[in-house]
Amino acid sequence: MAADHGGGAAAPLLAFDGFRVGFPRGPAVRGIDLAVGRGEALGIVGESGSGKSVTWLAALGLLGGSARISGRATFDGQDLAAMAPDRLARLRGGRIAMIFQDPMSALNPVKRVGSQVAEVLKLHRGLAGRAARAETRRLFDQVGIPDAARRTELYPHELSGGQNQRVAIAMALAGHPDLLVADEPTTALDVTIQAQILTLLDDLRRDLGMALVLISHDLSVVGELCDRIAVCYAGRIVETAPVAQLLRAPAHPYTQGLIGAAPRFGARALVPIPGQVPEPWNMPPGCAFAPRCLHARADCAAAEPPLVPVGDPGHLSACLLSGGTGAAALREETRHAPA
Amino acid sequence: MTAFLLRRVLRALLTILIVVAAAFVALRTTSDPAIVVLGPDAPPEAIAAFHEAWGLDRPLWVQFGSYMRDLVHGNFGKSMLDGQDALEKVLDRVAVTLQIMVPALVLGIMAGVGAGTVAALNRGRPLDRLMMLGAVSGFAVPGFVLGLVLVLVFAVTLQWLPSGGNDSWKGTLLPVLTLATGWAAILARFTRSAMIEVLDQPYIRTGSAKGLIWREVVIRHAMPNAAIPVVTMIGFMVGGLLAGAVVTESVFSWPGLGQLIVTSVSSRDVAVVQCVLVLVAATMVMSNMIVDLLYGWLDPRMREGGR
Repeated sequence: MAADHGGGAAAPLLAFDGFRVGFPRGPAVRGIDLAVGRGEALGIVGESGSGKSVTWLAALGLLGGSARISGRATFDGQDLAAMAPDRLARLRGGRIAMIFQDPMSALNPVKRVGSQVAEVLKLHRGLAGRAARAETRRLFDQVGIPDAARRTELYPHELSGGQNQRVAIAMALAGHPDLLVADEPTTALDVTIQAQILTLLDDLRRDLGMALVLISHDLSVVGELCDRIAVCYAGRIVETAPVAQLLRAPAHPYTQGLIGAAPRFGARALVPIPGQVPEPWNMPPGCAFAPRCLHARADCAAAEPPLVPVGDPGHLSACLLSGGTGAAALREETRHAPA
Repeated sequence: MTAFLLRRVLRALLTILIVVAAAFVALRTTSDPAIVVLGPDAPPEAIAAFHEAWGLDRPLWVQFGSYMRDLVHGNFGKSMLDGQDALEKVLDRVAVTLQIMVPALVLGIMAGVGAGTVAALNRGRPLDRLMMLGAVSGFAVPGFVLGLVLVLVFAVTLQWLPSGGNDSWKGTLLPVLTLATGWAAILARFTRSAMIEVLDQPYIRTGSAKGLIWREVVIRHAMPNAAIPVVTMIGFMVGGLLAGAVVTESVFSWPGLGQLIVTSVSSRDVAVVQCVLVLVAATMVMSNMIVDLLYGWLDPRMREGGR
């Protein structure tokens, strides 16, 4: 079953099965099936409000009490939703680490960055005192912070955004994670710094053999780093495929729209996707993308299309039009310029 | 750091000097202590003798000069009413005032900060509403009303506690409760909003993401940040500690500094009033200075500017 939605033949490291997250005002995640394999780099792409971050925050117990979770999220065979809060807490920062968008505000402003990293070392590896300081310096070196010994003694406001994000990465690595979830890790940074951070994440993943989930609204960021991409729309996965496959032959009109809307070098007009992601309390019937879709037909509103294989192995799409020959026709129809 | 401290101390001394000068002029120009002390029917010779004895016949700036000279030597002058040393008289009362102020402050801080934190952690739930209802009520009811109600209930009706005076430890309970309620109410609301703001910050989520359980996140990451504005507020309270009990002391006839202020101002006992003012101003200025220092200690972002 898990192999159906990717993640390789071996048991996946983390798997979502019919995972749902509801808020008092409506559902934010409406049934996600997804798996991350050991050492895999998976990209999650979608507009803001598509539920791409909420899925992970909810699974790790990082949303407030108002979130209602149903379905399953299993990590290494353990159901995260059924886990006692304290046990789930100890999994975070240990086997599953997370980094967030704005590194400046994600670090505690009144604590030295070194001690914030050391806190993880104490918590998950039992290191304290001299050993913790030495390991913190080693981690700072590993994430490319120069002059580590001095920098560990500084406060977040004394470091740049890029350096703070490196600190956050060091903090994530401190617990020896099997999985690193990076939620828009470069969105708040300058372009040149973005590239550095992404390269760092890529190198670390290869060196340490950990799995990486890279959540981003930017298809090009995800395309660079990941083995496989899952496209999120209105709380569901609408398409998932290996990176090359997805970028070369997107099957879902939304994915095609995302690629068309992404700025690229070379003279090509951007094609925006009209409208916006529907609010959770205002979901259209059937396919949630249908109201914005150029190819929508009458039966699109009848039922939510399931995520089904389309042609190549590991390529799934949730669109009535993208199965079999329909996909090719659809691509032909939407191709704005040679890719 | 030393330069910073020195600058602060000089500024503090200047503030105290201004307070002393303003009070000196105001007290000596608004009415004649001789008439207040000796009575309106006193013969002119007696008044003249009184003036000469206390140096009131000299020009104002000469009087101020000699007053300041004495002050520098730690001499606050003598009470015009009974000739007692002003400083001694004031310090006696300070000790009595602190008997209710210190326990009230400790109680107020514990109750206020505790309630505010609990309310923030239960934001929007019934417990939060209940705590804030209590805080708003405590804030809205003036101290003298609350004091009188407490007297009515515990002294008059139940007869468990004395209605005033400092004859036994029981006498401290009602004034302490009255003062603590006001402070706790202010601090509860202040702590709640500071805490709520901090709990919404991304670094709180980072704390959870690194594996801390919620209680640890609150203690290690939320509280140190929320403490910054709360400490400021407590600093202001400590600053107003000595002068803050005038009303409460009157209600419970507590023979502290507040009562001394009332009697010495109305009898134009200038040396005593001046002494009280210097002391009150000094506590205010000192506590502000301590808050500034604490601020830099609590919040590393404030350090560069101060040094």
